[in-house]
Amino acid sequence: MDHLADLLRERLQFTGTKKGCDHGQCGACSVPIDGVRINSCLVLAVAGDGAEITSVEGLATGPELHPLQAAFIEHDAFQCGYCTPGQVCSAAGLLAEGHTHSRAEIREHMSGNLCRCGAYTNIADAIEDVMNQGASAREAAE
Amino acid sequence: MNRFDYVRADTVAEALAALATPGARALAGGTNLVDLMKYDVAKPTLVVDINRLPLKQIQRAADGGLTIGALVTNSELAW
Repeated sequence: MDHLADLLRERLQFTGTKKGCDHGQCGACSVPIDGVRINSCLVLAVAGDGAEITSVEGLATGPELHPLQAAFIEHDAFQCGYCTPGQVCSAAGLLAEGHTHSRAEIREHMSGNLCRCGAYTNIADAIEDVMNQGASAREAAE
Repeated sequence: MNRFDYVRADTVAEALAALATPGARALAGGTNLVDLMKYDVAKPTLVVDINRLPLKQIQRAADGGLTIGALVTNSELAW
């Protein structure tokens, strides 16, 4: 039986979603299920039956990058890039949740997404930038 | 991971009936069970998905306490 992470990567070829630890600890496999970000390595694929799942491939609108994707590039919010799809999906969830209003809260609410290159400062910069773009950007993230 | 049957319970009664089966385990967030199943530490023969049960409410009790549904996530509770 597949986990959602395997279903996305191996069967559906949406390889943007990354498998890091495979234990739900690193956040590389983060995707939103019905708008709630989860670790897809801990979800049985069958349990997602009927759910709406947006992997990182679905964030951009045609050639137009999602504001978070653009901000990650702008702020150089990665080094190796392996955690980036999970970071971006998680950040989109964070903005959609609407509970985050400060940099400290960004760090706290992104704490489930590890970056072994240590790009946290720039990741927080990118997310803070989009957060400050206001309600219109928040709606786009949903 | 071992082979197992999967059933999604729509009511508490349905879940309880399924969980009475020998070898059955309840699946909620999966952070423990799925992880342990990957390495055959947990080997349920029947996985009962309880995620669609109506147990996601946080209610204030008259005496000032809180009633927290069994399916309330840590992050929901933290807000």
